[in-house]
Amino acid sequence: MNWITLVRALGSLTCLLTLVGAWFIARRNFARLSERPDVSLGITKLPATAFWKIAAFACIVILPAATIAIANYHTFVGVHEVQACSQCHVMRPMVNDLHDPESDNLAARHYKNGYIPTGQCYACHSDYGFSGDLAAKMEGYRHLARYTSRTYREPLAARTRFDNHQCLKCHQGKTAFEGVHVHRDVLARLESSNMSCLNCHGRAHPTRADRTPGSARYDALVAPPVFAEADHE
Amino acid sequence: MNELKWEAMAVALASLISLVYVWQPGPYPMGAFTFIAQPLFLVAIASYAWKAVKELHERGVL
Repeated sequence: MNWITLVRALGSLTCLLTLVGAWFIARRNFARLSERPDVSLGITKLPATAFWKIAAFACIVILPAATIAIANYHTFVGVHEVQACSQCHVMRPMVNDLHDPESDNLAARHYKNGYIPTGQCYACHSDYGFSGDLAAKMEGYRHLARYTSRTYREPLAARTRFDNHQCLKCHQGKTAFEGVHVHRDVLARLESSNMSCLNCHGRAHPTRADRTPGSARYDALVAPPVFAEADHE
Repeated sequence: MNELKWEAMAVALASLISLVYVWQPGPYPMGAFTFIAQPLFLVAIASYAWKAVKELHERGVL
């Protein structure tokens, strides 16, 4: 059983139990429960007031807390996948270009050469460690709010300058990187992001002109992407 | 304890939204879960806790 099946099964269970429990809790008159007979649980009997207070605690506190935890896990793990990014049409140009074997953009070159086996978007757009993960997720919430409230304009523009450490975290220290003497000459500027890796290695994604609605490539770039089997793992 | 009618309805609505999100994790269900269902759950839990603490005070337990 993979994680998504488990999350769906557990999430459905907590949601359905909450729905059924909430139906009974909403109909209950707590002020008059003392007049009702004890509730038999098979091995013991509970006063109706105690039983319904425990049921209310489970349905309004325990099960919702479990649902929040499961659904947030679903969010935090699901957004690591490229499919999650392609759910928003404004990200599809990047995803379609990533999968295009004819593209020479940096992201596509990484993909077709298998440099990053899974979670390609997330690998380059989040920093190391918990704080990097957290920062990427907080930024994701902003993207989500802007997208669902339709307060964005195409083509999207990056808010901040790309941090070269996203490249250096994999490349720095490797023979292929260290063997290029120019890298040693400009390393300080690369580390401070005063010079972009893209200056020499080409753009990462399609141009803003191509991503502008009405451009010759726009319709092809925002078409729903087709994912290979390997991308679904 | 007072009636828990609106708290029950709030968690029911939030659970429905969460159920849709768990099965269809697109941007709109994700937005509905993040910005509607989660706050509804939290407000219902806070209201329940407030009523429970108030009742325990009235009964002299706290």
